[in-house]
Amino acid sequence: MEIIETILNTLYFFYDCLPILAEGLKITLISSVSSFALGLLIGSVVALLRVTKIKFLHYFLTAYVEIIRGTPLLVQLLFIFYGVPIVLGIKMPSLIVGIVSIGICTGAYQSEMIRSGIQSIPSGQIEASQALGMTKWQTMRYIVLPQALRMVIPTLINEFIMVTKDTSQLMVIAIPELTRRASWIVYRTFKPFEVFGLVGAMYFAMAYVASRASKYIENKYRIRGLIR
Amino acid sequence: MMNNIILRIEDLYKSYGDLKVLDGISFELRKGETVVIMGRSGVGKSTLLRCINRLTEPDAGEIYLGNTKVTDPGTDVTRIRERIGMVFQHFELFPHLIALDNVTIGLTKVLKLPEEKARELALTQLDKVGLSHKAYSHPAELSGGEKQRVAIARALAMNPDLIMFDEPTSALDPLLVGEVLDTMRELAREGLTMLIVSHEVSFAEEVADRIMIMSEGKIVEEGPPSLIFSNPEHEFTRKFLERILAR
Repeated sequence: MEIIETILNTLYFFYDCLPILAEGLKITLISSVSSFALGLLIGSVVALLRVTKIKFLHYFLTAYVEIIRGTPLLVQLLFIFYGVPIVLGIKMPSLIVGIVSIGICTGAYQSEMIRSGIQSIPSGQIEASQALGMTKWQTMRYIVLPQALRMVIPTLINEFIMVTKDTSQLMVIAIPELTRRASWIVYRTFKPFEVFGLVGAMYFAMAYVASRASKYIENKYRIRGLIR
Repeated sequence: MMNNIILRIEDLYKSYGDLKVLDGISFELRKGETVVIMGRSGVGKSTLLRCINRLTEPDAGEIYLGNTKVTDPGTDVTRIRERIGMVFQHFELFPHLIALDNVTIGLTKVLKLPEEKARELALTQLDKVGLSHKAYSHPAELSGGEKQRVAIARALAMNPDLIMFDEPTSALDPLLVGEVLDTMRELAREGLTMLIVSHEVSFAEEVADRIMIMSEGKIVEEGPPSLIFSNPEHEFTRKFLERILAR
């Protein structure tokens, strides 16, 4: 009967933790969704600009993607949080800094995903569209992007899952998201096994929902008869 | 003088590096004419078609579509292309769109027709190529022959001054070649202006008003099919026909 008591106690403990963690989950969700959306915006623009091959921009954007890919998010986060205010003399709320930092980071990855989607469209289709009299932009808008985006939906949702997990690093700039709140509780209760276990399960649940959503969206927008 | 000349090409040149693909091509195409271009693979037949709507930029020479100078740098090339239909060897349908939308997209986005009118027109064209019952199928659900007929409907719907066919049956299963050629025969009968690159000798013999034989970037022989097939002047044409007919 001792086991049942332990389980009950743990459940009570979880119940006590919930209000604090729920608040953290909210911040985690907000920062995940907003930084992913910002990244999608940056990624789309960068991908489009990179495929149009404007020389000057090309070097600049390649540098952006390479630098972001070659440095840890944690370093980028600390650099923007501590470094940029000193140079520019402005101080922004840490949540904004966090969202922008992760947005810039995931934007670089997303631009590469979208670019590979755009470049996977066979050139024959682009020529067929131009032969109809469509402009470059119309070809992009009506022929290339609808197919390219379908193709990258699974990778983009995978990136979203990465972003939700990356938001745990926001704890280093004192944003009270899920992981930071969990460590508060651990400092006070000394129950890391239970607390981090529970928090891990919460991250997992988010990832699971996202991956189910991915399957659903993929099916919904599947091109009929096309085997991939 | 230009009254019924739809396409005029003067001294067209195109090279890729040292390779002269088009070496001074000149010809005219009259309204309602069907011209078939024949020649070995790689002699520049496709390049010629692609230069006409400037999917490929020619190095030198002039192209006129009616009174419009296609090769003028100031010419809006999209306005030219909407007047020239093109049918490709590999169909190049848009796989994310149903057959109907493959046909309407040019009408709504390029010609800016209202949705309703475009649909109506597209259905008429699909009916004409015998595919109105496949209007709601995606390209991947169609056979090769059906795909090519949708591609023809897509080009026809724009009501172009001429349609260019770039080996429209070369990628097809032999069993499916017939249906596409039938569709093209019908168009020739209706008096559509067509410029066709093809290896189908008996088809060419039947529908062509004129046949042009290309070799090494030049038109080496030109004339009505009866003349070219029965009495080829050129040594090259003779060999070429022998080989093709032997297949």
